Amino acid sequence: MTAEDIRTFIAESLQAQLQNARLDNAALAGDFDLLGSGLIDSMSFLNLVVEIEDWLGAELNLEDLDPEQLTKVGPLCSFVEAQLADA
Amino acid sequence: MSEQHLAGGFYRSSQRYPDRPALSIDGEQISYRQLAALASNLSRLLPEQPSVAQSPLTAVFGQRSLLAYAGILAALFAGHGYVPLNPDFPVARLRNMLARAKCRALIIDQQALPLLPQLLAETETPLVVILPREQDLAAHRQAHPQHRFYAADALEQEPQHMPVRRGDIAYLLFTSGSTGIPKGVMVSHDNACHFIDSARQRYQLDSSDRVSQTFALTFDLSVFDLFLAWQAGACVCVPQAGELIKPGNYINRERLTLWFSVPSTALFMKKFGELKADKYPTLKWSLFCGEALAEEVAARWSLAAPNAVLENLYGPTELTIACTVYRREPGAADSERSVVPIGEPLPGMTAMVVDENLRQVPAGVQGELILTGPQLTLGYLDDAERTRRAFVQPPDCDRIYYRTGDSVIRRSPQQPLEYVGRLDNQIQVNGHRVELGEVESAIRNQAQIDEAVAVGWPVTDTGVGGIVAFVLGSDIDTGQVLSALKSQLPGYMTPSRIHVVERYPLNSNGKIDRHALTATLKGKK
Repeated sequence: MTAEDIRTFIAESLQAQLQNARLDNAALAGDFDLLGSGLIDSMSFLNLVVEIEDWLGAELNLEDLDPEQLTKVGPLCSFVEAQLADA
Repeated sequence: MSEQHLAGGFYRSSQRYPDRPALSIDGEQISYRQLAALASNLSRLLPEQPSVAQSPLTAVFGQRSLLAYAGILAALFAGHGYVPLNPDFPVARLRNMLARAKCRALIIDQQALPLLPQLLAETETPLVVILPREQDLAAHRQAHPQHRFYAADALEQEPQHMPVRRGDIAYLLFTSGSTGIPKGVMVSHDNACHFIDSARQRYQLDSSDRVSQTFALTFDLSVFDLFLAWQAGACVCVPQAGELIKPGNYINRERLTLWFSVPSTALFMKKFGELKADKYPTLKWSLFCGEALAEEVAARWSLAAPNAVLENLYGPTELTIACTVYRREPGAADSERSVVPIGEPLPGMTAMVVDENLRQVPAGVQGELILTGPQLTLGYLDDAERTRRAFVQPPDCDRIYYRTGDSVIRRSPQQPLEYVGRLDNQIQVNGHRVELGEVESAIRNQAQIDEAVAVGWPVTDTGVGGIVAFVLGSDIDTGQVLSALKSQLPGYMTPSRIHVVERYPLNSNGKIDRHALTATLKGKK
């Protein structure tokens, strides 16, 4: 599983929100902040994490991720990728 | 002044502690004197109701902002009830609420201001509209000459006046309705004051306390945050939206003594490592309400806030904020239960567990929870039929009870009430009440189809986090339907996805099997 696979999953999960904000999938990259941009709210972010876990069939441990980085697409995907590699 | 006035406690605190902070918001401390003066000056602009047939109502359009708080107090000071309108909701829904409540005034904060032209587009009834800033007056006056506009930053400073009471309604809240039309729950001053008085005696706050304000104003739990704190002269602390994702630093920085949120927030904090042992030493009270509180989450919270008493509250809007409570004793992890009980009725409230004929069932038998008492609200605005169906008189009883639609059990007469689930298709999405029927009705209308099924998804430790829908047929543009739903339903009611299926799974009764549909989502994009 690569960070790009995870990014694709996030883009598909947030399809409705992206459409509403008139953004395409490519916008979800690098430092794009899911929360800061207003694309989703904090509860939707939690749902996204739960959906990623369901999809991966594994529980994620996000305790060590810097809160500033947590909601940015690039860092979040890399972090999840690294955790899966460690598992 | 009558004791039974929701703003009465605030008014007394403003006289007693004028220089203590009433609000900590956006890095500023707003004193009782400042907040009372703003509310009092705003309240003078609100019109008197020509008829006494209905309580006068003022809409407060905004989110957890200084002007929204002052607007709520202003409405109450003027003898109006307030109707909170959430700028995150689709404008069409807000227009419907404004019209149905027959509001004659609107107080709007800066965040909601861009939505004002759309909100007023089809509003013919002349309104008094209070804007945040004088600089916006001219444009709005020109665009909407039928309404009278004022600005909150250009008010005459006048001596503070006492709250008056002109009608029964303290606030009107709209909740999801299964037929597609939101229901307006009318909550009286007597209802709200009874609850606040119970909470005052239970929590014994004083002017040194600092209380969280996490709930949107359209959520009646915000009434607890505001009016419990203000009657005690305590400070209401308002985290910014971004701080709610990981509020740990906020709790410590503001030295909060009372935390109150939906359990999802605690689940969130657990996930992100915010519930480490002894992290929140200042908290005296940890309160949760709005959805199921998982025992595991409660246990972790108690470790993080070791000096706090943790309580799980329960209550639909129709019974005013919360009507039962369970105190979870520290270290009393109950291995038999995965969810914290909802406990016992608050003082003055009476609960019964009944069967489908509204006859009480014995302990150990699951049934519907019905309650009555001074927190039983006035029913639904202009909807006698739905009021009659939900507010019922059980056989051999001389009192009216509210049917919660919640299935509960008391394992033995000495055991607390435990929440089991819903008897209908209502769910809680992060604490927000959603009738799946309303979502399904909206999809059917948009897609022009006969059948649509909505289910709660994803499933979390506290309930569900959102909604996913299913439709039959291959020629439906699901993206277009989703997009249209966004303009009709609040975000928490809008499905994140619509799956097209070839057929619906059926259960043994020949009905659509919602559990089987939900199971298909596991591991699915």
